[in-house]
Amino acid sequence: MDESEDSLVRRVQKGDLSAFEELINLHGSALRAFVAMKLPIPHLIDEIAHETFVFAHRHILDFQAGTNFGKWLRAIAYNLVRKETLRHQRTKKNQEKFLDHCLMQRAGRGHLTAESPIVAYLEECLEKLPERQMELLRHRYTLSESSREISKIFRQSDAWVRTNLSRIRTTLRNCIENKLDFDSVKP
Amino acid sequence: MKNEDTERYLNGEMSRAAERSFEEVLRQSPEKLEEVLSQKEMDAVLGVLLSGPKQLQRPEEFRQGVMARLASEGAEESKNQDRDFSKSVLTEIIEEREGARPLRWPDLVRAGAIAAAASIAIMFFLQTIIFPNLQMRRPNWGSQNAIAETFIAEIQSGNDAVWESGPNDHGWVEHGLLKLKSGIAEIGFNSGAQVVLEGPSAISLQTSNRAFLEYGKLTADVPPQASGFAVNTPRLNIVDIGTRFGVSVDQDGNSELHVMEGEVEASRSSGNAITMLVREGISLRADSRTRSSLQPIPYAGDQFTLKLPGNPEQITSTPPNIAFTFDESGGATLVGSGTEAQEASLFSDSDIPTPRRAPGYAGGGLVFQKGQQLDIDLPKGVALNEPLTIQFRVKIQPRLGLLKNREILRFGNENDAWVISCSQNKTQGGKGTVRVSTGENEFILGSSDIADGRWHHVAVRFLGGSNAQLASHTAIFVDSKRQDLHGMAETGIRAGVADKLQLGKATDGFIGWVDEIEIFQKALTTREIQKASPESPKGVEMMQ
Repeated sequence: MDESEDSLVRRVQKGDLSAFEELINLHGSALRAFVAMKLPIPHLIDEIAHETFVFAHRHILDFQAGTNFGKWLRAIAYNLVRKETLRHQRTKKNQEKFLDHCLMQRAGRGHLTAESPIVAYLEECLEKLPERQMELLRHRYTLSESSREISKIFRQSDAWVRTNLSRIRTTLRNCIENKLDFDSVKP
Repeated sequence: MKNEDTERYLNGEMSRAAERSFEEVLRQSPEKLEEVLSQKEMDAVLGVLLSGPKQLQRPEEFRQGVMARLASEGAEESKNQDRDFSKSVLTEIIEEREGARPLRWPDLVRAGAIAAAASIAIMFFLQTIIFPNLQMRRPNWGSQNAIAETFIAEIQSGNDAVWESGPNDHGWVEHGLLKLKSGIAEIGFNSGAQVVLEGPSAISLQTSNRAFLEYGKLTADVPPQASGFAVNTPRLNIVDIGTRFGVSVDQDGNSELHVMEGEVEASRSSGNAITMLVREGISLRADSRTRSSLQPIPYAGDQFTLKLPGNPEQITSTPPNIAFTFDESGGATLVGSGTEAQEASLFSDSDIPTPRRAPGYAGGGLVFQKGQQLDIDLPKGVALNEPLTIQFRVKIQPRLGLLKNREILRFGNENDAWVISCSQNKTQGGKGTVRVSTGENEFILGSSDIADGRWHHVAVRFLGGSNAQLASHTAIFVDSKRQDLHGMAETGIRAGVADKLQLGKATDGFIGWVDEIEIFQKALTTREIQKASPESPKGVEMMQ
């Protein structure tokens, strides 16, 4: 575990709130990405990530400094997601939105654990993408442009934009799974 | 299934019919469904890692949201809120990592606390068996009923205000929904809170200290005496702690809070509602995107109307019709300072002894011993059944034993009068509270004990009007806080004109000090009453 992170944790345990802000800076993106992968329903991602950090702060004295803080956060988030899926199942009305319902059921099956380094693998896979594909992703996710707007910039059709975005995501997914497969067979 | 269709479905770019058709295909094919779910997964993660601002918060906003929540929470209180969840998470992590959990000192402390609690519980159980009649002391209201507050706010002024439903003009209003179609209106709540409402708005007045903003925009100015004033919206609960704040709600119920001065407590109205302390210069938003968190947004308090254009900031001072301060340097003559000039004398033609000068609340005052009374003739009559406010300062020593009500002030004529007493009759309930009556069996009681040896500001406000009744149209304030009322008073006030002001009473009069008497032929606003009593019970200076 990074020494500076260990120092931050100890400061938080002594009551230094500003040190916790640094921990959020260090782990915020990765945790939100983990939650997004586990339960990709937009309005729940930040909510669960938010609750994870709040919970972690409340119970910071229960964390053993020197161990993996990021993993501890993911474990908390994992359980918060599970709690949310159970709540969803109890409410019949929630099941009316088909995609969200399926995502909830998938999250409840626990296909992604706190141990999974998927987010780290995704970042590695992104670095390997050709620049043009990264540019397409930036227009879509960083600038939040519509397919139509992107098609004008790239001088392609709307269909081209949509198809390529879908293919890029499949490529990234395959890249991650290859890394996971490699991890599972290495001695 | 084409990639393009998947993308259109995930982006919500399909028509409803096309969406249903697409979902039917997914229902029939688990492989295609899995593909779409994987795409959705990657879409969400990329949105986070590449920071899509329209989908999710930027990292700095997320961090600020977490820190704002932590800064407003007490560690111990919040820890108690999720013990069950914490047990499940920590148990899972610890058991996974270490197997059997080692015994630690918190476990020993916990075991000791449980044993102590059990012992105390046994003691209480035995006590109830041995002493079955032991009861906690409660305020005894005798046979008196609580009187529900009728008029809770006053529409005080407007700027091109057009009401869709509500008052057509200024005036006191009861609970209910007000819809301001356009313009601006100023509403004074009975608690002292002032609200500037900007149309189009719909606001439900619930109590003298609470409102629900269904949509629209308002600014609330809350003095310390009205601390606890609450504004709720479809998504937010806001409780003031003595401050000024603005609230806006759109047609979808999405709500924003902007704190201009002081602090408020804010929480979501549903979901995992944790209360946050929001300070001056901070703005928050609650919308449908998240269920539990409050999102920090740029401060925009300057976009709220703080006061009506053309209205001075200071409350217009209405001079009293009758006023006595007892600040003369000496002698028997008491000089009135109201618009209707009066004089009184401490020398009496009758055998009834009169009070003496003594240090008052501010400057001079009068001290009343047993059997002493002061009569002041009023040359011009103030109407008894029209809007009226009587206020004064009084100090009464606590007395033991079963006593009669002690009369402080009588304002009226030979047949009809407003009588303000200190209730010290245990059988009627409310011992030591302010008692206001207009007849033998018609009276209302306040809720604060004023017979405690300290100075108190007492104000009685009658709204007047046709069919006005003592209970529904009268408010009692002690030290600028509106009193909860009990009593029996369902008849109207008889028409009449006051020609005498009597302080104390030869028989059953109060024993104590009085000062700063003012009588207005007007129902003063709560703010005006609070201005006359700048110190709240906690000694906080009223904001000007």
